[in-house]
Amino acid sequence: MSKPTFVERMAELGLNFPPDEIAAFEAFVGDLEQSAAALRAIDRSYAEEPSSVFTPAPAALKPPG
Amino acid sequence: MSDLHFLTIAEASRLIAARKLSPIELTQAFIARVKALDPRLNAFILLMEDSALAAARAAEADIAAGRYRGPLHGIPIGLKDIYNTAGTATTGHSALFRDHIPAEDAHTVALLKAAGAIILGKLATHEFATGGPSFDLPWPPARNPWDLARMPGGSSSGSGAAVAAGLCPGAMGTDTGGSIRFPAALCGIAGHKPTYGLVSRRGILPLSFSLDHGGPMCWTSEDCALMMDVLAGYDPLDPASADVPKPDFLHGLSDGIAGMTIGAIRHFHETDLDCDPEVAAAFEASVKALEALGATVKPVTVSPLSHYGDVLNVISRAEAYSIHERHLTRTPMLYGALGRRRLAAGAFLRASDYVSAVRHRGRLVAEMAALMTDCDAVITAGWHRPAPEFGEGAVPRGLNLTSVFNVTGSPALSVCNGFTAAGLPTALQIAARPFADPTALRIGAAFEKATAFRSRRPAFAIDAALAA
Repeated sequence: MSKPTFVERMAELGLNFPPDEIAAFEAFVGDLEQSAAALRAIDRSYAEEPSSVFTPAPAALKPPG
Repeated sequence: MSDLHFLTIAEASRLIAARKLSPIELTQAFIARVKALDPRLNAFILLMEDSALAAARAAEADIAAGRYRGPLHGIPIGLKDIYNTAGTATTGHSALFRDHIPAEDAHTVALLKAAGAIILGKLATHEFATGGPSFDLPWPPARNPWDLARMPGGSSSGSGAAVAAGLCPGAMGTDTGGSIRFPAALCGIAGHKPTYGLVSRRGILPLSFSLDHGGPMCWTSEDCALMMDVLAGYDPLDPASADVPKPDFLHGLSDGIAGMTIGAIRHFHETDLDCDPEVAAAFEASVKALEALGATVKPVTVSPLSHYGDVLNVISRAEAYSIHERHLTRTPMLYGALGRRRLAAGAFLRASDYVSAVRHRGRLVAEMAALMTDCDAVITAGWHRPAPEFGEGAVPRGLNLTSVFNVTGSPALSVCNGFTAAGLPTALQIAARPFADPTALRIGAAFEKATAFRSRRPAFAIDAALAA
């Protein structure tokens, strides 16, 4: 199975931009994907999981009504 | 009175309080200057002449009747055009929102009006605070008043240009990765990004909800403090608003910085980013100026700039796409090309990318908090280069010196710290502990008072260009 082209990836996401913008958009996405890859490459200890910081406020615990 | 347009907020408010300056006269002076200069500067999307004059008349009547409300009473203020204004279009500088007429003012706009400020108009921005500078939008991009061929920085581009050019003494900007401090740096003014949660974002068009901040842009740090004194405070209708005691922005502002310890982060501009030599030299001169004021400045290091940049890049693009997905997939051509590109890129991120970025952000917040236990503040260069010409290239992965403090949520102030040989401003960034915004502003005020950079205005550059 061949790797999807950038235009095919765009189509899957519902994005339809003018053809003359595709190269610049692909470069911009590539730049962003480098950021994401760099973060994936940073070691994180399993002991740090989970790191959710969600804390319900007392008012949120009241029953509806 | 001549040169009313170059009065600071502090200077004008003292005159107004003493009834030596009329809010009507002051507002008329700014309206006249906007009409004369803005056709070349493009800082304003909308000059609100009638409502501004009506507000000025009301301010004058109130003050005459002994109902003076404080330092912003009768002061004209510009709003980046992503601040909702009841009954007046809030466009985001985008064709998509050209006819967007909010029913209510943004919370901060309501606070400014309650303090007696006069809303002078709506100011240019990069499209939805990210897609610019662009020439394919309904309004042209703002230009830098120090050199009209150059960018003013963004995304609060109109705010930076307008304040520097004397089109309004103060303006509201927003800052997701540096959008207050970047134009402040390139336009040679003061711009303050408050602590995350200190100023309500309710009624401001969002870009990235966990990184967005609203804040003031003025000629001086003192003026930023005067505006922060009105803007700060808990808003239960902004989920990120912090229910903390409001800091006192004015007490101690002029007390100097003797005895403070300031950490100097040099690796950001010396090794992590390609920096202009004149910016680096201005930074070292600023260190000496702070030491001469009695502060101890010591070198400190944190994670490489790319760590902060990558976290900001992933979080901001993911959150922005979640906001704009519906419009980008249904009516993409209502955006400019740059806005389309920048707002849609987040579609390609994985859910785990976003979660990883949020988790790494926690580490960086902890790292900065640990550093700040030994420092009252940290300083960095404000921006890595002076204002570039329109069309000059971008930095890979969006690296910059400002996004660090969006990631940590710390208060961060940009002040002018010199001029290049070509006459373009350079900047110093001053960050403090969360909710210690007054510390950053106090350092900025002391620095500005000790240096001569606030006495230089870009008027000659503009006037020369206009005469050409």
